[in-house]
Amino acid sequence: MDKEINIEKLNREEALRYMGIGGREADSRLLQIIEECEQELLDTIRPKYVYRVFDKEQLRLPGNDIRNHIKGCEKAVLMCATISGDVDKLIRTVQINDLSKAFVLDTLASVAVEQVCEAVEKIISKEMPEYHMTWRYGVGYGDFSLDFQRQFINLVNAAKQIGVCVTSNNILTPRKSVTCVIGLSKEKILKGKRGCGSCNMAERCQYRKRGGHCGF
Amino acid sequence: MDFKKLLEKDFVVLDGAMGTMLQQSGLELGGTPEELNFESEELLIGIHKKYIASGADIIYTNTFGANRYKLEESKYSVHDIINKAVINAKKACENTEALVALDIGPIGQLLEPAGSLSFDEAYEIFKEQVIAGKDADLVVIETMTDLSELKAAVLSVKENSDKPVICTMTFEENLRTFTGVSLSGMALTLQGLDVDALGINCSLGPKELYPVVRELSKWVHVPLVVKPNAGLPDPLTNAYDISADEFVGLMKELIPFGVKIFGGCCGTNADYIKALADMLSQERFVKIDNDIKSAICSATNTVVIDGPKIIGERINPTGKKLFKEALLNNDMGYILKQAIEQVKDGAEILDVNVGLPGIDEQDMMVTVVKQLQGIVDVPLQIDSTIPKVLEAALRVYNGKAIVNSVNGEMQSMRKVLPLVKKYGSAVVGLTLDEGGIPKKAEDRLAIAKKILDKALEYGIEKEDVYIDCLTLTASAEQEGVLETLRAVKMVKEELGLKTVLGVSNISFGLPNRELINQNFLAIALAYGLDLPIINPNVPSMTGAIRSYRLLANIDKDSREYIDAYSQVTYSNQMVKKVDSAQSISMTPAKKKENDIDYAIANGLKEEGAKITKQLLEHTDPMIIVNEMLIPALDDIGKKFEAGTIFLPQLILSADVAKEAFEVIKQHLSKNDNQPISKGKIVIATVKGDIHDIGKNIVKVLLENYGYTVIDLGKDVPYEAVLKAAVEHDAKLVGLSALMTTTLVSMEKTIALLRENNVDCKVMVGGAVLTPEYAKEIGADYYAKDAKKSVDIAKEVLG
Repeated sequence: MDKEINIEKLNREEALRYMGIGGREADSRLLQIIEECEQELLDTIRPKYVYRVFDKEQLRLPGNDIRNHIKGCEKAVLMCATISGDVDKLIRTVQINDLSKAFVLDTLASVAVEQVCEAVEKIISKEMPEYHMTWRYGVGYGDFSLDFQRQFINLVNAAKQIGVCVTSNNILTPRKSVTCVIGLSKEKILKGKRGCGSCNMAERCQYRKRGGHCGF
Repeated sequence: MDFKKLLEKDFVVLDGAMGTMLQQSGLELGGTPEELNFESEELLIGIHKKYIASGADIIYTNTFGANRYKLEESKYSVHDIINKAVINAKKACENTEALVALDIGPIGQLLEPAGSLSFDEAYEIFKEQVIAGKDADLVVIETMTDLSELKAAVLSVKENSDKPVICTMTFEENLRTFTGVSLSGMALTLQGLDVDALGINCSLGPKELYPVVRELSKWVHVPLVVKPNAGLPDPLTNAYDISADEFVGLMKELIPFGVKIFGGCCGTNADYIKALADMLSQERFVKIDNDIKSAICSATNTVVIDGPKIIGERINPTGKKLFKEALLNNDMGYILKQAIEQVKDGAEILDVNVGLPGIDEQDMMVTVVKQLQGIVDVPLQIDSTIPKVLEAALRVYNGKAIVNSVNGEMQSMRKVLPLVKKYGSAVVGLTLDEGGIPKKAEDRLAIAKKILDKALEYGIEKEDVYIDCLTLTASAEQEGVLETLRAVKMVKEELGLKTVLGVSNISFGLPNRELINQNFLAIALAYGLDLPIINPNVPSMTGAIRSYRLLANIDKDSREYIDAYSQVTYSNQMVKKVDSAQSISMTPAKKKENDIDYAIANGLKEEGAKITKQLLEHTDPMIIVNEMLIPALDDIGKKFEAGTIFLPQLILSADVAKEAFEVIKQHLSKNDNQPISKGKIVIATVKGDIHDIGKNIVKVLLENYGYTVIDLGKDVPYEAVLKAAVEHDAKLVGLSALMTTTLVSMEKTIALLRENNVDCKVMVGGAVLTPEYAKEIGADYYAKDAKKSVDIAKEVLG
């Protein structure tokens, strides 16, 4: 794969938001831990991805939400990205002596895998400049059931290509991995609503309880 | 023809890809390729035949994914598919000399700790395949990335079949598999398990595999296999990028590395194999004679014993009250911490001993070994006197371990050495036998010789036998000290074996033990000691070894020495820098900086420990806990509830309090006082769920408040929660789940507790839970966050 992804910096603001904190509320001790963790994480991650482009007719995706999401698209990309298993090990190890650091690492790792997804999106867009793209719709979001996870991994051959597998409870391993669908259309796409209304976490969402939004 | 006979040829040719040939036949791909054994029988037989006609000596059955997990939704059973695939392949071989290999690929799920599949489950899955494929001529396990999964597969072949087995793994350009397995780790482990050939398949093209094969060839004594892809795939079209001619040209370059068995993987077809067979028919096999090394490994880290290496001794309950308590309470955190600290200070191998009356040593050993492999990558030395404990640990050990120990008694050798051979480990032989420990060095040498001879008889390599000449206590048997040292020298020089010594024993009963230990160690190293078992957290001990390595010209250019000690100054400076940054940037202090509540509020861990130590000099521990630590935590908790501080700060504070508690615990233990406990709470992340950071935050907070937390970890079976709740008579059980898909496990766990009328309250928590749902599944309490779990504990346990 010559199109390697290098993440040189993590989006700290995003990390703070994941932790439930606004930038102003973070004290210097926390910021310092984030800084230490960022370097360690960047040294540990090995971003990998695989994607496959399907004609829409080839795909049978479960749930109304995902079908709505790619309505009007001719093609859909199934994409899987990961920052690999070393991060899981790092978090397991750090956790034993320093839970706060482990918590920060865990959050930063979530941010990192999202950044990898963004980078892959850019690569796809370059590969297929004639297409407009929808935003990334994650498996498990809305009524796009997690039960699809295993089939998804098989469709893109993620186990063999990048070492991502699924547990019998549909959890992706390595832990910091993502599966998502992007619709492709030659016509301009009306950016669909990414509202809380279509989210199955709406009732329990921590961001929403505080009057915020997860950013998705 | 059989595999052994086949190896008499210069080269053995394997087939190419099945998928590529199917695609080229115009078959629409998708669905389960293994079902084609029934549905496109003739097509498959035709492909096998083409490969044989092209020159393949061995063809792989179309059973790569034919396991219970991947065939879950198939209308065919594992047995039927494999059986049929072998019949098809055999048909294709009729009237030829070609052999049929039962093809086994990865299960498709990661094993614990990365995933949730257990070693035993993996073993059972493979066993089913092996039995179904019993009519094949040999077994090939391929495209593996996890050494632990591969080991489960190899054992399932060895224990359920007498066929030869070939193993190949998939490597990346960084010379590692996806899960980090090293080439040496693969080679040492698999050769220990006595596989018949090993190597690399899939991964990359032959060009990219050149450095991988070069490195692997240094470690291999069995026939070496290479079965690469036809170059690299295009992500859009999935087509591979090199032609048959290019492929063969590059394969030819691998011959000097001693490769014996060649084939093709993804993207190769019969043309590639034909060209490959033609090329090989013009070449001669190049035999590489590698010395067998004394080496052990984990999956990711190999230790070659080419100079003194440090074995850390601290994972051992002997004479350690806190360690014993940790074992009784299943406190993995405490045990794992010992491991991390030792590795940080220079341990290169860790001895693991968890023998304690009142616990199930076998269970505990397996748990500890699995957990250790999840967090450290140094190889382990399995230390037990009970053969079945050794065997259970060796089975799940992911790499090549050391067994500690066998001795010169016939019974010991008969029980332990077969295990060493079967699981391919190294072994420590103690120079004692039915007559006890001989006084004279010559007699210890004789026992060492006896152990060596017996080991060789069992087929164990000489390089894998390490001899412990036994350290006697200087205060009791002063004249014995030099005998031990003489014995070390004799074993080394006369038998050519590596030597081990437990060092710390020497000074028992003497004042200033460290001084004696250090000097004994330095002398022993000069006498030829290879594997000192020491406490690596004592700087003078690791220092003695590092300086020996420098003085003996092992540590070339003093690099390691300088690294180790310039680092110390460096990290001191770092610490200082950090400290000053903290003191400047802290929020305006209402409290004095030497107050424990200041340290807690500001997340100052080391400060917290230091202040607690000072307080203990003149304050009752219970007063520190109840009047200082807990009010400080309460204060933090209130702020968290009010939303003025956030989860990371809460955890930071909890970490400081934890550190303070550790200090108090050690103090109490030293003064023989009972540890503080306000009651026991069992907590677990439920079956199927592998998220545990939330649960661990809850654990620390509960411990902060003086509760004894029995932490069962993640992915915990329902029965284990029941068992722990009953055994520990816990009045509160906390369950965590983070996925909608695992909430059902939570419900089932609660149901099981209720069915068995366990007298306990249940609290539940996790991102996807709601108070309503908690009620619905029968929980007594819903903990919306970690702080709330403390409130619940107070209500239930007081």
